[in-house]
Order: sequence, then structure tokens, then C-alpha cells
Amino acid sequence: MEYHCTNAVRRAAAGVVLAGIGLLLAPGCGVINPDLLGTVLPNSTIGIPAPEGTIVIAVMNRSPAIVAAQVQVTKLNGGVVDLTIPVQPFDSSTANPADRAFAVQDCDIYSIRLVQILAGLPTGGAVQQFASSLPPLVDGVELSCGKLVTITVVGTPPNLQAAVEVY
Amino acid sequence: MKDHVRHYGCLLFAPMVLAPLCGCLNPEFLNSAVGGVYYPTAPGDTPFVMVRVVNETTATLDVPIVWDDGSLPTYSYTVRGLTPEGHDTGTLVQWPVLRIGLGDLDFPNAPLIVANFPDGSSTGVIFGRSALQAGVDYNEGDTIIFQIAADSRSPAYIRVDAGKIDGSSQLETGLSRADPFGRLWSLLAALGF
Repeated sequence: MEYHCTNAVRRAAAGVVLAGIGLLLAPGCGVINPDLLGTVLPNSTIGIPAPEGTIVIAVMNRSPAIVAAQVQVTKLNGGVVDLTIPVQPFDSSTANPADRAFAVQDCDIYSIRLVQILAGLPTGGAVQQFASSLPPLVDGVELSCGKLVTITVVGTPPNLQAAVEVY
Repeated sequence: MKDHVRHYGCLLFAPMVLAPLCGCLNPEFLNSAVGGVYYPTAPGDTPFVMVRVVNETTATLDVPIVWDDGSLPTYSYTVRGLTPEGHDTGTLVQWPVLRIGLGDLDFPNAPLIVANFPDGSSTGVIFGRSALQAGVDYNEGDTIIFQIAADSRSPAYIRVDAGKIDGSSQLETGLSRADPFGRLWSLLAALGF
């Protein structure tokens, strides 16, 4: 009886230890080179690194101005990608895709910051700068893999506004 | 002894099987490994084609992504200043899109990709292949990846590789999480774009 009891306790303890080791090691699996996986798994093209997921940045222009959104993306490795995303004035035709534009990033992002928006009328005139004081969207707070970040420009020059939202 | 192996083997195997299900594994790692089980890596059933540019060189790149829908004008989205640390970025193109390429759709040997090296020199890089064509090289919902890599056998010592993630490979499972493509498509429809 005592022997069986000791064995049961030992097995339970071993199970807890092994499960603990598994859980401790599991988050570290990201250290495995995804490039290597990209070369051996069927869903990826040979030699091309497989993305971890996607974060989409959409710039949608509902104003009559030509707009360029300047966005700074900071990667987890410290790398920076500066994006300039130009869009044409709003056109009610869904067939014309020029009034919206999209940037995509892999999920290895620390932050996304709208640096500023430049806007001008197609007929010329002054270039307006706005939306330069918004705080960055940060990984783990507003951002995570699979998020959609939208920058929507509304209004009529010189009263233009930008709204940044995360879905 | 055999009993011990069987027993402890099961104990080891159980966490390995259960860990992904309870979210213990890094989902982004798993996602890249099994191709979109958590987060889609291609637009899938939404009417987009995703185009990604990956910088595997030591240079900072300016990369014009160009496409058309069979009528004028040709659309473009230029990635400027993509550093090796920045590594990758891209754009999402709304379907229908007939041809996709880098630089110039009709002149693939025009050196319109600009590589700025750390020593201050810069060079033009050719796309070097015909523009990718809908129905042949890609379909609605796919992801196209252009990898720009150092290659001493290529002009300018840089070559462009193209790869594809098949949109139909995106798995709809109970594990699926955020889908930015589906959300974007719904949002565009709601806002009248």
C-alpha cells in the first residue's frame, strides 16, 4: 500500500515538473528560426521567410484634398520603417481605389506612430500639416498581431482632421 | 522499464499536444510555422492581394511596387528607405489586379529599385522578370513576397526572388484570431469606399 502511494506521488510530481518545463519552454519557441521553417513547410515558398502574421495600416481619405500620411513603424529589433502613404481625394465610386491605400507589416512591431499628415487641394495652394501630436500605438497596449489600424481624414481644407483607430 | 518509458513518454507528450490549444506557445511563431492558423498571412477570401517586400541585403532600398487592373492608370506604392533592420513592409492591393511587379510593369530590366549601401554608394537594381500575372502567378486572396537579397552572380549584386502564399491555404479553425483583412473589407463597405 505504501509502495503504491509513493509511486503515485512520484508520478504526479513528475507530471507537474514535466508540464512546468513544457510551459516554460513553450513561449521561447519563437527563437527557432522562422526562415528555416519557411523552407520546410508546405505553405511557404521555398527560401522565402514566412510572415508571422499581418498588421494592416489603412489610410482612407474622405476629404477633397490630396493627402499623404507619414507613419513611423518601429520593429521589436529596433529597426524603423518610415512610410509615406499617399491617397487621392475621396471619390464616391467604389471602382476607384485611389482614395484609400494600405500598408502591411509583419507582426514584429513595437509601435506605430502617425508622424503627420500633409494635405493639399488638387488645384494647388498651401500644403497643410496636421495630426502631428498623436501618441504612438504600442505593442501589448493598443497593438497586437492581426490588428487593423485606420487613419481616416475628414473635413474640408483648411479644416481637416484625422482619426486614428485600431480594430 | 518499458512501462516507465510508456508512462513518462505520455506525460511528456501531453503538454506538447495541449500547449498550443491553451495558448501557451508563442502564437506568432506557430502562425508562421503552420501558415495562418491564428492570424492570416494572406487575404484569403477577401478581395485583396497582399504584396510584401523583404530586404535581405545590407543596403537601404527604395522599391516601387506597381500594378494595374487592365486599364490606365498604372498604380504604384513606393517603399522608401527600407533598411536591413526594417526588413519588411508591403501593401494591400484591391482586386481586380491584372499584373504586379517592381519598378516598371512593361520594362522589367529598368533598374528602378534603388539600393543605397552603407559606404554611401548607390545602384539601380532590376526586377529582372516579367510582371506577375493574375491567374498565372497569383489569384485573388494570395500574398506575393518579393525578397530582395544579395547575390554576387546578379547585376548590381542584388537579385529579386518572388514567392507566394496561397490564399486558399488560410485555415479557418477554432483557433483563428484577429483577421485584419476581413475587418478592412467590412469597414470599406460601411464607409462607402
